[in-house]
Amino acid sequence: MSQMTKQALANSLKSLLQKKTLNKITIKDIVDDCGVNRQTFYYHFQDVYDLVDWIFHHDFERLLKDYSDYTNWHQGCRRILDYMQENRSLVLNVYHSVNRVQLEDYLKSWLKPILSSIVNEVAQSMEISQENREFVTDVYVLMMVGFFMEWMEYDMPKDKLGKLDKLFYCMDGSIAYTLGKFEETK
Amino acid sequence: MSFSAKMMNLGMRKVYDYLEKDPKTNLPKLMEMIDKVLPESVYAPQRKVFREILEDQDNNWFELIESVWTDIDPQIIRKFFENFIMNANLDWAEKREKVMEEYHCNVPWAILLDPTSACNMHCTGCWAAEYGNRLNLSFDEIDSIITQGKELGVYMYIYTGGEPLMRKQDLIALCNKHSDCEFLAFTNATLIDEEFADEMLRVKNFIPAISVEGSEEDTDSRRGKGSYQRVVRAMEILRRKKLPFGVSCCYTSQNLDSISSEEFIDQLVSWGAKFAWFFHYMPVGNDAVTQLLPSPQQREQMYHRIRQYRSTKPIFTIDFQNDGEYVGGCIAGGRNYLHINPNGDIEPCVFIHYSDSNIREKTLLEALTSPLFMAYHDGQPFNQNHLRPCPMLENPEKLQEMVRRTGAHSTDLQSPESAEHLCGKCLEYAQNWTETADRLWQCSHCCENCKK
Repeated sequence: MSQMTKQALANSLKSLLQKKTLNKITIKDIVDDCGVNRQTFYYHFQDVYDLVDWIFHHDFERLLKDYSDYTNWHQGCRRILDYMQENRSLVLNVYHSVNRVQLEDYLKSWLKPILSSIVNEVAQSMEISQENREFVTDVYVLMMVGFFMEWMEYDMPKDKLGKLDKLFYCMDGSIAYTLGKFEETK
Repeated sequence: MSFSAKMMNLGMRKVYDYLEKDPKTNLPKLMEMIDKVLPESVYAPQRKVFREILEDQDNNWFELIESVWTDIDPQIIRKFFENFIMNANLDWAEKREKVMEEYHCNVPWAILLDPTSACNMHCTGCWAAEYGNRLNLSFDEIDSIITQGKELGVYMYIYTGGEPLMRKQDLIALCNKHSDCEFLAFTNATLIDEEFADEMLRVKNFIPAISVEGSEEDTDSRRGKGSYQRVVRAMEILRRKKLPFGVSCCYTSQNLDSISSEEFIDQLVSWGAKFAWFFHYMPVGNDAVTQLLPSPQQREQMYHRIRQYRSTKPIFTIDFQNDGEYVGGCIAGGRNYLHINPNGDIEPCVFIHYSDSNIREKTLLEALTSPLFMAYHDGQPFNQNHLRPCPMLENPEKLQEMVRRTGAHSTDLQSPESAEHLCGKCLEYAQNWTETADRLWQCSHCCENCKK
């Protein structure tokens, strides 16, 4: 029941974002669209940003359920990009009107488990400390996040997506190479 | 918030991170830092007491502080630190001063309000019952009260009633919306279940003060059979979920002995209550009897016992009628708090059912500057002896005079009681108490015999 109410409020916000920017949307707009009273909104969320937060967490949980083993991590990353395009107005509004760092944090929290599992898989046969594994993971996470952030800065153009393939091309094999350096210098 | 206050806020949060790691060692260090940062004058007496507690860690207060860390969810302690210490005290002090300077009126520390007059119990002598069962402050009204309150610097909201938890969904929504405030509710605890406890854990800023009357026999005789066991069950849930709670006790001529017994206090500690607030019975309402008023001997007994527990038991006890010396007498009329009933009437005190302002017609600030609240402001303290703080109970002529002068009306919708009738019931009590009060007051202030 409570999950359904939250989802309904989330849908209302997403549909309102087609017409208005995030900072112009009031709680009243959302509850009117959703057909509930203000206290119902506040029972679940502190404010609009709390709802946005829930949307990103909740949607992403659903999104990556199918990619839990991360064997096909390219596909996982593409799925993130697809999601961001499907929710273009939400993502761009957050990028422009809320703390940008927050969006970076979302991206990091999504990408880190993916990249961490790849690093650990590659490093399985190597003698590399946990600290160095995490360091390498972070380097790759930052690279991916940087790519996504720049893409958003230019309003998520479709033609830039081709660059993602190039990025994967650069990364493939390079993780093993980088990890290998840490093994040599141990 | 001013820039300096914001900086300090940020700094304090960092300090809290440090404190959380090892409270026992770091608390005294934190206190040292606070002493360096804050000017001498700010909260000086409170800080002195706190320093003493920390210097000698082998005392009941330190035991209480330690028990907070072992018994309560760390996230909730952090929230309490932010809302209660940073907002309800430090930020409040700064904002309040500005408002007081501009309007020359009282600005409260806490706002007490009745979300509803409805209650699922029917206890003998409960003043809430007077309002009848149908009045409510709407979510939007309470939201507006809190929003206005925060502008004046008030971050502490205390629900009375009625049974506040009859509106538990709305209360959680308000905790969630005003996550920078601390909420407390006087409750009979019957509506605290696993689900509600989980909601409390989620919002982190809601603390129940559960009504108990001493022994099982006394509680059940006033509140109905089985009430005591229901309270015990609620406390068990709260304790298991690491939620903070306290109790509130009303003492009368009938239950005073059991409610102030050491056995009872020890029981409260073992249940996990962190505070126990004691309220003197008030003969408010046309039907209220004077027989329940404690005798001077009984009240004196209460005075000594609570002071003794305060220096020996790991629980924060307050006896509002006898502890005026720590807060400069009467705290009502907006000086430290005010009360809004479920009809929206803004009253000086939970026990004083007279008003000249309604939240549906006036803003909080307008109410504070209205004649009745200004009469409180100008009249406080009502007595130089803080063991006789109340303009009704110990100084009944004062309330009568204020109500007459300001034209405040009775807010009792069932059976309006005149101030003369109410105060008439207190005359004899006030006269009888004076001698004891004066002796105790003298004794606690530069008494030759005791060398205090």
